[in-house]
Amino acid sequence: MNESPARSVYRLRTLPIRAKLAIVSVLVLIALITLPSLSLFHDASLQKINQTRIEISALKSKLLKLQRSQNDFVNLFELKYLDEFSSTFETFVESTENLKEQFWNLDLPITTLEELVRLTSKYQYLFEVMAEQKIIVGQDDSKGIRKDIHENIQSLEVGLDQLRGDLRLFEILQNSVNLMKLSVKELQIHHRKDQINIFENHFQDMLDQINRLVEDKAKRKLLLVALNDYHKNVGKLVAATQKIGMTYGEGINGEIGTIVHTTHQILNRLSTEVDSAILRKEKNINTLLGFMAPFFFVVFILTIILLARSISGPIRGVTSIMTRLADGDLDVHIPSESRRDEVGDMYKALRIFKMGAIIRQRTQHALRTAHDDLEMRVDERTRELQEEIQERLKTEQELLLAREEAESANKAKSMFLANMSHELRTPLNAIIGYAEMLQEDAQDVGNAVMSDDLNKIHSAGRHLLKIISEILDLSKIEAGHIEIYSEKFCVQDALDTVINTVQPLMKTNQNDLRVDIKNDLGFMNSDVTKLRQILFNFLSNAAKFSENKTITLRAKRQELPDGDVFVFSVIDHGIGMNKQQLDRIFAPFTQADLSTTRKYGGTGLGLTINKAFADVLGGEVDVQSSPNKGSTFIVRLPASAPSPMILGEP
Amino acid sequence: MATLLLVEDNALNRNMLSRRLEKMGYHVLLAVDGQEGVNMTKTEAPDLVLMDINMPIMDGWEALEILKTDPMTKSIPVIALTAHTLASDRDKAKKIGFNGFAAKPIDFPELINTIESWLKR
Repeated sequence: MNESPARSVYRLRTLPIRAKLAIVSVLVLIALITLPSLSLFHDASLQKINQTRIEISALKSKLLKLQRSQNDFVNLFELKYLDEFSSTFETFVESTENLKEQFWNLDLPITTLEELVRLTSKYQYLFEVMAEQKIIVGQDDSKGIRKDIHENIQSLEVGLDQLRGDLRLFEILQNSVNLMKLSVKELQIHHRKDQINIFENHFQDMLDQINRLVEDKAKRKLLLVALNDYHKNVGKLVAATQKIGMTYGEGINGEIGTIVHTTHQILNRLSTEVDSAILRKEKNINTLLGFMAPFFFVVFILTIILLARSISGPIRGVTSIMTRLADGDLDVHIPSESRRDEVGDMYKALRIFKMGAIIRQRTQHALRTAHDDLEMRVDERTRELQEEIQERLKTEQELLLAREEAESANKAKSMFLANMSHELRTPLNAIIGYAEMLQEDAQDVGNAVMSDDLNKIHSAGRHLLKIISEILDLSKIEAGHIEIYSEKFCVQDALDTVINTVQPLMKTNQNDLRVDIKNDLGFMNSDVTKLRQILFNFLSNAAKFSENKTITLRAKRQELPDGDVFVFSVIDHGIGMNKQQLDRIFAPFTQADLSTTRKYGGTGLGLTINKAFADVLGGEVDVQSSPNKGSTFIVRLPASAPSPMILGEP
Repeated sequence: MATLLLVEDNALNRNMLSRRLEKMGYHVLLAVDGQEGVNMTKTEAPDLVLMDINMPIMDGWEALEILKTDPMTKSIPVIALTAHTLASDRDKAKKIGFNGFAAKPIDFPELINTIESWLKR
């Protein structure tokens, strides 16, 4: 991936909080593991260094052992010490090699160690040289130079024994030999250097004595050979001894002493070096630890601070944004950077919240506007309505006034009609009455012509009465003043009355009335006058529009659950009506058509009145008709009319 | 022979009806208004009174009320004669105490039937 460092830092900074916490946890874990590990490493290192010290101590003790072996060998001159020395030396070398390895491991300087190896090699070499010399010299008189010397002494003593004859000479020479022996012994045991010269003097003395005092040539020669041999071997002994070193500070001994001393010094130096190395290491480790702990601490603290800042900073930002949002500040900027952490999620949520809030605010604003608008419109409408109401109230008052006027007018009309009816009836009553009277008189005297004329007056009066009654009825219907006078009556009696009344009308057009009563009709609780008028109107219509036909009045009582119903039908076979005519016949002042009125006369109110009467009696009228075949008028009335409704004063 | 009192303000009707009734054999007394009708009922004690409703001075309603409250006259049947054919009139007539009701123009045979039915009692 090709990212700029800033981008990487940003990516790290916007890591999810859980990832950051995980990183911190890992850091803490590393610190927690590292410090004890360092400590352990330190301990292990110290242990190793301690081992090295022990090894060095061991080397020291081995060196001491070597010295002891050397001393034992020198002093006691036993070959086992030689072997002891060798084996000790081998272990010494081995230890040195180990030490070398450890030094390598511990990264210590090995120059000193190398010097030590070199010195010890030299020590061994010198010890071997010394041992060789020692062996040349011999341990006692049975070996090496010492044996030669012993033999020489014996040869000398043999030569001296030949001189026992001259006792004085023997004693002088014997004394010289003893002196030389003493000197050698001194030299040999006590390593006294002065004894070399003393021996030499004794040797010269003895040589002189022999040459001077021994006269026998053979004897002299024997003595001189023995003495010279002796002198020569003692010289060898002296040489070897000198080579080994008369004292510890001389010869090989001296060298060995120096080497041993140096070796000790080197070992000590090694000890010091190791110690200082230990100290250095400890110091290093302590320094490291002392550095690491604060380093980790600082790193930890820094990480915590950075973490806290990288968490709390954005959260503070989020909080301030939330606070501002909560305060209703929708202009607040929400960073649109694509963070991968929870803060990014919060920003996302806040953006959505803000968007929602903006939408809500807009909606609220729109609602408020709509509300205000609505309120304004409502106010406006209210005002308009109030105006309208005022207007309407005015209109209503006007209407009320008009209605009152109309009502009073109507009342006046009704009053007028009632009065007119009364005023008309009174003279009509007299006319009809007198006509009837005169008719009776004419019949009594047998004046047929007069009787016929009187009859015409009478029927004209009746006709006028009927018209007046119908107009009155209609005015009452229109005024809504139909009144029911409900009573219990015998239906058959009512029918009989109607039949009697209508019989003269039947004769007019030579019609025949047939009465068809299906069952026992019994009683009816209704307005008998209105029932009679309904049937009379139907029958008079039938009689009017039929000629030479049978007109049937059919009556039937139907028993129904809601109460019995009477069905009265008037069936004629007259001129009939078509559909258009049928639709209009119950409207006031309408006959089937205008020609009908001209031809048949009548007010055209009968059917209208019938319909209104049937309605107030709780029933209905119906008609079936076809042109030129006849009509059937039906009225259905309940056996009990509804309770009377008095709608107003007459 | 039964005596009938006809109370009627209209002279023509009074004349016509009284003559027809007399022709039928009744003794007919005449009164021209309610007040006279009440007085004559009390003085003459007719068998039956035929009373018009619409009359000057005292109308039929008032006259009847007086007749029906007077113990002397309350047993005399009174039949209303009226040009008012409204059902409410008939109802009112019955309620107040008219014993019969005949609408004008009078159906004479029916009137006779009514009179006879009351006289038989």
